[in-house]
Order: sequence, then structure tokens, then C-alpha cells
Amino acid sequence: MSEPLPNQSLDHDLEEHWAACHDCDLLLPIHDITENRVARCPRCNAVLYRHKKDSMNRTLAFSIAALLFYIPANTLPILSLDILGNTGRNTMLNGVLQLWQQGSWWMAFLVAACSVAMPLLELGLLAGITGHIQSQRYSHWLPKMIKWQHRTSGWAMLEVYLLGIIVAIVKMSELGDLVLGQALVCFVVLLVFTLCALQSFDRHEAWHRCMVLRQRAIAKAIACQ
Amino acid sequence: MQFQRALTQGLTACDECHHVVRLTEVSPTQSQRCSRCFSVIHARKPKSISRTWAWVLTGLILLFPANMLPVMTVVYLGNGSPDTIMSGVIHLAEEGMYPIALLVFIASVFVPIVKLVGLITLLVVVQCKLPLSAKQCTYLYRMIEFIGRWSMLDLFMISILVTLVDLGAVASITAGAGATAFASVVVATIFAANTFDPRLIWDLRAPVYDH
Ligand SMILES: [Zn+2]
Ligand SMILES: [Zn+2]
Repeated sequence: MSEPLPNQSLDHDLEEHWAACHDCDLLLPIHDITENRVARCPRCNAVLYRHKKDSMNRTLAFSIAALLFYIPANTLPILSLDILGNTGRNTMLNGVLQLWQQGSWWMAFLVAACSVAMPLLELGLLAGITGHIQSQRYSHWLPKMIKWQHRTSGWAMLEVYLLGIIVAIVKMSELGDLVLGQALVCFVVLLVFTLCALQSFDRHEAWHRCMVLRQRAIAKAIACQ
Repeated sequence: MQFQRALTQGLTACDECHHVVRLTEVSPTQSQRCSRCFSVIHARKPKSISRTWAWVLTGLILLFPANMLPVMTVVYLGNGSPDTIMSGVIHLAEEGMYPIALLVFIASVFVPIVKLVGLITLLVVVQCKLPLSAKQCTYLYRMIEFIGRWSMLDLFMISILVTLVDLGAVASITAGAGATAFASVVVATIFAANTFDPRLIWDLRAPVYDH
């Protein structure tokens, strides 16, 4: 069976019928995409669309839950080490400050961005996007937030930080008394909720809902005039 | 079923939101914008090959100071013992902590090299039109995108160690110049992967695909 190819007269609903693979540029009719839970490109196997159940609700719940643990995870000690009666404490923030004071400002900036700032931005954007959509409100920030969520999604690296903690524990365990702080629990909870929020977020659905809200807002604005 | 390339139909997916838009002729002073997310539309990522080469070469050059200069120095009673990435791995292995030593080796040595070699391979495939499997090249690209972030492991570990061992004149740990270079390698390779456009690999192949 051969599909009819899109022509210019069909452009007004182009996006409802066609998708282009972002990895190999294959043009695909979209009914193949919405029928399955996961739609893959037949040529390069890229995931074009993954349907997620109750996505907006779950993402909102997980991102708010994660935000509650964000401040304790960042400010309370994750590890503390006792050597000769002196205690060194690590919190996510003082690690950055210490690097800055030592003059490694570029490294301090990068660690701060990937472990402190980007996770907060990520959670804020997810909560903002899903909050807007769930409350049926449109603002010009909504498409910007979805766009920025896509742009910044690779830079939050909490799971790599967890691996860093594990390596630090192994390295330092012979030097003195290593105590795992309360914030380690907060950090793990923050990490799990952040990953759950990201996993349950369906960007495709977010864009769709955003466009519905935008059209409604435009119709309302015209009606008011 | 027969499929075509989107570009042959004058269509493309928006870089930012993957929305399908029709490419229109616009004047050189203004650019076309996506109707959904308002980003500038490009049929392919602009100057993808030269930008990726620039980031790859930056990463490649910085790989030398990153591996030769000390990433951290343990100062104990005034005596400093600097550690490079490799000597840190060797210390861990000497103390019998093989799994952790292997983990640090993969994240800090293996991953950056694999990323750079992989990206150079992809660039050469596109520029010299090498007949390698486009599907496997795309898998290589996805792997490069996925593994890049794990190189930050060493930097996070150093940021933890500098606060744990902070005993003033008795003992302290400071981050070295190697860590700054290594941080730049990680950023350069992540940018290199982001500026590369995998669609260029497929542009060399037949424009029609039968499934
Ligand atoms: Zn594809
Ligand atoms: Zn767009």
C-alpha cells in the first residue's frame, strides 16, 4: 500500500498527519504513531513518540514532591568525615563554594550547574508546564517552558552525582570515620522523584495540550474584541 | 509501504519541538520560525560539520592537559601528592577496589576517548561519503549522546572530597588544573554531540525507503 504524500493544500493540518524522524528525516504518516504505545522509526529505530499514562498529573505530583526534598538535599550534610577529631562535612552547596574559593571557578561553575541549578530548573519547568496544563491556563510562557525543558534536559546530572558520592565513600572509608548524613536520604529521594517526573513526562502530549490552550486563548481574545 | 525523506517533500522537523513544518522561501535577512515553538527553522542543523569539528578538536587538544596535569592534590602536613586521572585509578586498583577503579577508568578515560573517536568517525563518514551502515552510525551517535554525561563523575567526586578533607594546615585536598581541563573536555564533547546532525548520515543514502 502506498501512502498519499502531503501536498501544500493539506498544510493547515500537516502536523496532524505527518511526522518527520528527527534522526533520519523519514516522513511518516502519523496514524502509525498514535496507535501504538511506543512508535519507532521503521528505518533507524528512533523513538518518535512514547505514550505515557496520565502524564500531566503524575509529572506534576512527582516534580512537586521532588522540589520538597530539594532544599534539604542541597544544604544538609550528605557525608561527614572524622579525621583526628576534626570533621569535614560535605553538602552539595559547600562543595561548589570550596572549589570556588580554591580558584577552580570553571569547575565550580560546572558542578553547580549540573548538580544544583539544572535539577532545580528541570523540576521548576516540569511543575510549571504541567501546572499550567492541569489548570487549563495559557500564557506565552508555556511554549517557552516546553522548549527550554527540551533544551536543558541533558544537563541535570543527579544520577551521576550519586555515583560520585559512592566513589567518594569508597575512597575515604579508610582515612577516618565516615558518617552518612541525613541529606543522603533526602538526596536519594530527590533523585528518585526527579527521575520519575522525567519518566512520566510526555512532551508530545504537552505540546498538543499547549496548542489546544493557545487556540482557545486566541478564540477568546477574538470574541472579546 | 514506501517512505520518503521529509526534505524531498519540502518539509522538516523543527529542531526544538519536532513539529513538522513546510520550508518556505524567506529573504536572507529574516528566518522562518516554527509555528508551534517559534524557534528558527533549519532544514539541517546550521554549519553542523564545521561546528562539530571545532568542538571535537577543542576536546581533543584539552584531553592532553586533562590527563597529564593533576586533577587533585592531597596535601598532608605540608607535603602535596598530586594525582592525575590515571594515577587515581591506579591507586584504587592497588588498594584492591577493582570495581570502583574500573568505574572511574570507564567514566574518565574510556568515555571521553570513545566519544571523540566516535564523533570523528561520524564526521569522516559524512564528509568522505563512506559506505558504512547508516543504521549503525545512528546507533553510534545515540550511544555517544547517552554516555557523555557520565564523565562528570570524577568532577563531582572531587567536589565532595575537597570538603570532606579540610583540616587546615594538617590535611586538605585541592582541585588541580587537570580537573579544569577535564571539565572543558566534557563540555566540549557534549556540545560536539549536540551540534552534529545525524540526518546528514542518511542524506547520503537512497531518498526512498521500502518497508
Ligand atoms: Zn528515523
Ligand atoms: Zn518548533
